[in-house]
Amino acid sequence: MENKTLDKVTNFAMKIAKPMNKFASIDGVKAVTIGLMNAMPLTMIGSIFILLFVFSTPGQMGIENFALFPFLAGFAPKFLTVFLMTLNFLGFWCSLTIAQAYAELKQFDTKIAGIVGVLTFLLLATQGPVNGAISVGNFGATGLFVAMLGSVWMTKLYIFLDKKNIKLRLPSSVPSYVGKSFGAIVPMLLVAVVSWIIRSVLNLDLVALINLVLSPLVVNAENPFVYSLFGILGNLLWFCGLHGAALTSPITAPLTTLYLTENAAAKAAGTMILPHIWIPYTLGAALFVGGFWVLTVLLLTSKAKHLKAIGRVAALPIIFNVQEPLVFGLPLVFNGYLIIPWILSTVVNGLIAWYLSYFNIIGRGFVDPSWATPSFLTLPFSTGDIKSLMLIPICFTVGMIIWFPFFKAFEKAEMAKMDKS
Amino acid sequence: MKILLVCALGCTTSLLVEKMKQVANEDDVVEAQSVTEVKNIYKNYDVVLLGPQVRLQVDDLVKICEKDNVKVDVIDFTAYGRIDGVAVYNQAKKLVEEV
Repeated sequence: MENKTLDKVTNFAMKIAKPMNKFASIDGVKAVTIGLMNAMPLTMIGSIFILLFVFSTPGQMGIENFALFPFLAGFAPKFLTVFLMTLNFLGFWCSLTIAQAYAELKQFDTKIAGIVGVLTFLLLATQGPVNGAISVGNFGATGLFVAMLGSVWMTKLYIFLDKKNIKLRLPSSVPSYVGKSFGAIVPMLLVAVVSWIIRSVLNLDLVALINLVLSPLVVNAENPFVYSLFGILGNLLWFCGLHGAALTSPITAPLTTLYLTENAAAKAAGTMILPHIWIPYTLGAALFVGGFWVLTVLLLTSKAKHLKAIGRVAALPIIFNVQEPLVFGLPLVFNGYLIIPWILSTVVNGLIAWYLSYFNIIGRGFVDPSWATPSFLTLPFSTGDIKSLMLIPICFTVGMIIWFPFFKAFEKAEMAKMDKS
Repeated sequence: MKILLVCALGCTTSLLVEKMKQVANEDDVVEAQSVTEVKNIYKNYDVVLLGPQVRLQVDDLVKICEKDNVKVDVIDFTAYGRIDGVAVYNQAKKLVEEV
């Protein structure tokens, strides 16, 4: 790409990056992102148990009557128990982790914030126990947005009341820890009263209301166009040397977490075709193979010694989805030759993965492995479908066709530069 | 010298930590953390270096850290990408010695 065009692209990306960074820096948004991340041990445990369920139930892996662990079939329903109380209760757990994350950002007592978050969630998202049982229908995906909003706003309210010193004060002769727990009564009471008025007095079902308001977004955001757009945006941010996912995920994570939770719940209910396609790491595995794997192989086989050396440094991190050595070492940053295949392969491979899932040729993701899981493990484990591995040769080949000519031009320019010096 | 390296999750910078320890003095401390943690822990360090991918946050962090005389800077792009421990260690040293 010419320098002028390059400058334009850079300016454009930086223009988008600034407001995105601002959005990501809002404490409430940060708290949601960190809170979702802090719930990861629970989603991981839930994932392990739902995988055990899938692997031991005949026919759940996309092959008729086949089970990987048929001898565990008797246990299958029991495996679901742990899943149902972890990943399937993500809304509930996030009410705890998000409130704590918010308090930590505000350098406030996280123990109290956790109580505020859970209390708010129980008051807003349930109708309390009836005949000794509480309905957990909103503990999962449907309650996720209420958990996010409730935890942030009520913790905010609590901190505000505390800072304004609206609390019981005991004489200083009372031991400080006693005073502290008494001090919590008034702000906690107000938090409870506000939630209680909303749910029980006004009979306002925030779960239904928020889901109604957001449902056009939730439904319409999940299409290949929006997905590709975020892919391109991520590339452009990395192209400017900015962490693409860290800037786009505050926007996409609430949605994709919802998709994942709904897919997992559907899988546990025995549904064969899961409702959602946009499961970030499942599709992302295809992009990584078709992008950075291809580039690393091209580097390792390059005639230019210094390019080969970068390939060697990058190879191991790349397997674990760490791309910074390529982004900053090659660099891909401000690299006019390679931005074109980078974006092209992101879009083309993204669409291939999308439509193979859309037409149910490969299974859809219902488990989100850690981001550092190598692609060849992510695919079978996130979809429970061994056929999903076909994405690796397909995306690698397509990626190679896209990258090869641009890489060769880049390599030639690099070698010419080397000769000159 | 106590050096804190930060990136989005503290993962890539941890690759760098190992390389920097090879050139650091025995009493030096080199650690990696997530950028969101800086606010809570910067006082334990002499210098905080940001991975270039989180550099949009540098202004905010300078404001927080400079009142305690902790130096903040963005790691050089190429040194970062090549996981060049020597270059980044020298960058940190230069910042601290500037005082």
